[in-house]
Amino acid sequence: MTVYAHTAVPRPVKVSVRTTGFWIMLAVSAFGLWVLQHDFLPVVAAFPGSTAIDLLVLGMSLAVALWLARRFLRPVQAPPWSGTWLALMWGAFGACGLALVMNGVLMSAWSKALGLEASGEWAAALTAPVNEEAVKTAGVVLLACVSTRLVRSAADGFVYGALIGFGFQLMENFTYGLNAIAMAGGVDPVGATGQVLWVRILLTGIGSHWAMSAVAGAGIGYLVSASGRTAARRAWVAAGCLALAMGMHWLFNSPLFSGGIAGVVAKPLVNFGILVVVYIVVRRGFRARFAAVAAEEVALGSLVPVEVASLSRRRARRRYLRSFGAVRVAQERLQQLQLDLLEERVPELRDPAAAEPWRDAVAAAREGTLVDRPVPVP
Amino acid sequence: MGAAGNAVYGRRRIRVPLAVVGVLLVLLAAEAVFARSQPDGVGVAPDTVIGFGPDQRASVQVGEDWVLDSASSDVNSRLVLVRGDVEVELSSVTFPAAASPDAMWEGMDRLLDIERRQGVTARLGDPAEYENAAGVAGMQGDLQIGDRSGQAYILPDANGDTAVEAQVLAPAGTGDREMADAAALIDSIAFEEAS
Repeated sequence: MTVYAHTAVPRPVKVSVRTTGFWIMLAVSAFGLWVLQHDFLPVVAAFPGSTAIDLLVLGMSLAVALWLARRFLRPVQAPPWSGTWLALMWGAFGACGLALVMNGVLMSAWSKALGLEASGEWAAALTAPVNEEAVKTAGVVLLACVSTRLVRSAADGFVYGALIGFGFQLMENFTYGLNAIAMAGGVDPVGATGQVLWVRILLTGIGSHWAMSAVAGAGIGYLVSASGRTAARRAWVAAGCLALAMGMHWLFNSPLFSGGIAGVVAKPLVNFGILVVVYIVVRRGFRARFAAVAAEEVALGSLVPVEVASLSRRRARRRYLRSFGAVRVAQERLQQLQLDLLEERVPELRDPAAAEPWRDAVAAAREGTLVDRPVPVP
Repeated sequence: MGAAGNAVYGRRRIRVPLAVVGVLLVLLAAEAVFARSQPDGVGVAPDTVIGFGPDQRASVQVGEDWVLDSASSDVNSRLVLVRGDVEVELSSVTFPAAASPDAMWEGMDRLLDIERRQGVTARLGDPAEYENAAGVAGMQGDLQIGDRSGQAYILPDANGDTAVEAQVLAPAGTGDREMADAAALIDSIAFEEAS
């Protein structure tokens, strides 16, 4: 009788519900949702037309945000869906609700301390960069505590920061759309909501919350990553990224350079430029490390050069798979296991031997002895 | 470093999230202490003219003993002036397109739906034509929100695309003199010509 040895697929938990971070994210998001409904549910009930257009735009914006974040903002492959939804939830409910409470306190303090005229010009610039960047960045830190696998590099921090920022921006747009009704004296509520959404999405959306928190998130990703850099250096980089994000927010809200439509458009473009620079640095670092571990795995014999050549880019992977015709499904599974193996090797200080279950799975998938039974992985 | 390559492992997975909550609470507490250390209202010298709204084109001249509720006021959109039990709220509104006086009044009534949805009684009476001492023509009507009542005013600028909406509210039994002083505030509202 022939006895076959089978290897199971290593499937580590991406989001662990048995962590303090997860329950804090859930509890704070529930609190934020309560704050938001307390402030806006009566407006929603009183103005169903504005709410409908607000929800429609929110849904479309969410689709665009998901496509952008998952297709472009993380090198090699998209973040897992569990982390994606958790980040969006924190941004939309936890961060937005908390910021609403904190901003209410600090804005009124500036009104009293600075006087009517100065606070009218500067209160937003002195409030939002501190409170909003703090609560959004806190979300990236909490995501790093929810699982040891969600945030392991600056690239992870960048994409989760962007997702939290998107969640925040979508919810803020929703509330601004409702606030616009009162600012228009209740006249043509749908038109008032539409005007505000148009400005906030098409004119300023490109350099708003998602750009700022992506920059801060990259710093947190670098801080918690096993990159082999000293703790002091990682802390300084994280602090620098948070300060840069706050600076971007300050520029966005400050009365300086605000003249006319050019000012309204120029500031978000400056923020977008900073985002692109940070993205290039983060992406280059991630891809360099990915290429290095891919070369090591080729040397170890777990990957072959022709496979590695196509692994790091989405389009190249699809092109490679197309050449397999009927056996494409099996090859796609093998490709995903190879990606998982290399992702496991990206943290620099991680012992290469710890990736052995993934190497075994790749080997088993080639031999046809891989079973789809997940095994617990630390 | 943890087995999976992330610095938040072991006991840190408990301590770090708690520290995050702690930092946010400390930030909120510090801001609350700062806010409480500031005076709630600012006494306004008699005959002070306060500009408000976009480009501060609208203005109001404040009489004796009025206090500006700084926490509730924003020079770009809203002033709240208080004297005793009488509260005057002046909101600068910008319409999506030039609006007729009837549409403005309907809009104000529609906004009161927000109060009604919260279970608060809110009534806006029929409008009557009104012109203040500064020569701004608009509308005036009775207003009741909860257990406070008074007058509502809409004073549009010459173009009809922006307006000042005023609500004067006081508890029942407030003296005529106090209400007359509040009406004097509304009488002083004026618009600067757009340049």
